[in-house]
Amino acid sequence: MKIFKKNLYVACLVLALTIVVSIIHVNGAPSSEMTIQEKAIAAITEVIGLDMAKYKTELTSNVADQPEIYGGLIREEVTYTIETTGSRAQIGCTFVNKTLTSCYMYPIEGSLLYAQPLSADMLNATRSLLQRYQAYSGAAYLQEARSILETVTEIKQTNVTMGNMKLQITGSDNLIDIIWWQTINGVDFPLGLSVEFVNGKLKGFSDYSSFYHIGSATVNISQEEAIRITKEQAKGYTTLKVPTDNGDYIEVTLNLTDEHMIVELQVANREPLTMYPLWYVRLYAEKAYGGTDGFQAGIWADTGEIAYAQLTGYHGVISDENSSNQSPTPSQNSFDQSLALYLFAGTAVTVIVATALLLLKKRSK
Amino acid sequence: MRDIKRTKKEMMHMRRTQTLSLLLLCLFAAQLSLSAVVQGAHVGFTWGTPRTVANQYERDAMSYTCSYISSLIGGRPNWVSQNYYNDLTYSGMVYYQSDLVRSNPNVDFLATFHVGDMFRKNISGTLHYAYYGRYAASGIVDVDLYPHTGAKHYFTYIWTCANGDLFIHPIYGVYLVYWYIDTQNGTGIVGMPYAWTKISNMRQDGYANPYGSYTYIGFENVSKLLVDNSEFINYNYGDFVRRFYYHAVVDHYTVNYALDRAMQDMGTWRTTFGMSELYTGYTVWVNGIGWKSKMRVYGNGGMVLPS
Repeated sequence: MKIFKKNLYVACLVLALTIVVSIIHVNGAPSSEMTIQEKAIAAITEVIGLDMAKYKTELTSNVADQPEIYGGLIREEVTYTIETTGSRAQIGCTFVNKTLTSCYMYPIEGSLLYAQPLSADMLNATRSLLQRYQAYSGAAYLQEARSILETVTEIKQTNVTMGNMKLQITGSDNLIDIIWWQTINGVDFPLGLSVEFVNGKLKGFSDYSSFYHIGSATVNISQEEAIRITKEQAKGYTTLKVPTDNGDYIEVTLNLTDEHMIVELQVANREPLTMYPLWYVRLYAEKAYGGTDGFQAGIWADTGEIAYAQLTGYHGVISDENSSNQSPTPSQNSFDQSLALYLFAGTAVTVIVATALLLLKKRSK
Repeated sequence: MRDIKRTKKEMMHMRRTQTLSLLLLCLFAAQLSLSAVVQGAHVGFTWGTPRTVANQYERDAMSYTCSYISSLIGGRPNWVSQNYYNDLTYSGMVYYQSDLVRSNPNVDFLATFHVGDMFRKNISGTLHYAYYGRYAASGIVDVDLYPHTGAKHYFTYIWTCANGDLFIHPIYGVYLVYWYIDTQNGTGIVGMPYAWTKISNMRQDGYANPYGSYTYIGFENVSKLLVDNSEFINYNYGDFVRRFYYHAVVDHYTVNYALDRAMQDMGTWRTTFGMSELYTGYTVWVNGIGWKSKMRVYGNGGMVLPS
């Protein structure tokens, strides 16, 4: 009986330890006792792969807030400035509810030093990064993200689909983004996972996938209906007061047309971290006035409600100004008061002190 | 008599003590006020004019953004800021303040922000880059600005159309440039990034290839409005630029890092500036032409604004 109890006790202990170890593994290698700064260093060394032993590390900032965009979740950001001979950079890691969500590097001088040489091939560098990140976080979906990456043979503008996961490679010669999406009901929602390279070198990655939610993937509003709603909304905005040089305003009416109209199905956050399909409609006016050239609206595709509706435009007016200088002469009451005044005050005080000392000397005689 | 004499002496002594105290106080105050300048002052100017802007909401956003940036900079140690938005934004004032900064040995860094409308100025057949001032004929023109800049004009952010243009060299062709010398009509330099920095070889993508001592940010072709929500839904580009300044000035992040962090603050899946429309580009139709446009970071995106 005693032996049975002892065995049962050992079995329970082993089971408990196993559960604890698995929980720690699932929540990421760094234990919950680690500070956010230690977690950041762990991410930089274990996931990014920098050789931190070679750097002098200085904590630039450690900021915590509860931004509205995260629905009150705590965001913590740790920024280090790392420096060694010929190499200096800032590295920023962001955590949401203690979970790593992004890590990016910003060289100030020279190249970064890695513990293991980073593959010159961006595809291989991404594969290695995801492997290390999966070991760090233990998240199951990363296996799927890695699998779809295996189907890509070279870095070029491309879209690859596997099941409901989509991999997009986008960018230019200078900057490449590898972005994972999930497709539901034909609507592409960002998974929250992305890797960025600049000039062929890893810049960093972000992973908000455990925080992103899909509120709805149903498109109840047709494209035509979205256009109709936008045009209806625009009616309240088309009368403009265009300023004139003499300080008056001229009233004009924007005449919106279908020419160059843009209609796109996008996704956007209606609630914090929760995405819904959204129609984007942009209408151009026949003629622009005072930099206002049309109207745009975002219409939620599941409900038909308006996310935003506003005039569009730009900061440019096609015209030419006469070069004759009719502008007022600069007055002495602006910059002088703030900066040059200090110098003047300094000189004045010195003169006053000198004069006063002379006077005092005279009087005492 | 003795008492009177004693009183006179006492009064004289009192006066001396008072005078000396006052002088010491003045010296102390002067030392305090001069400390920032003596140690190397950094100056932040905000400019802009709604003179040609028809959208009332945009006019409000322009005013608020300049005021916000100026207050933010002015609240930092070693920084002096002035908001010249609206009435004080005219060519004479811009050039004058620029000269003051250049000639003041105690100023080591100028950060400039301007928001307003651009125009092209035809000088003897050459189109120069320019943006409006508050009054008629008070526009800031590249070739006129040029003699007043360089040196300490390390960070410049011009929120207008076209003043960050990259264009084919009009004389030699082929090459994409942000400036050139007009040897055909002899009207001087053309291009606002060069007019502000006097740097002829800034990196054309300072976000991806940061290098140098100067950073100039401007729009290639058509700019966005500050009130434009289309990329962020719950926020707009005004929020973006204000968050950028916060991260650059308060957090002391590099320009690139501050751009990325500002983008993250907008709460979309685009977690870097490199993923945003501002960097990847967008097309706007103006007068029947689809203008491929973007916000371009010239020079050193790795710059950290001084503390």
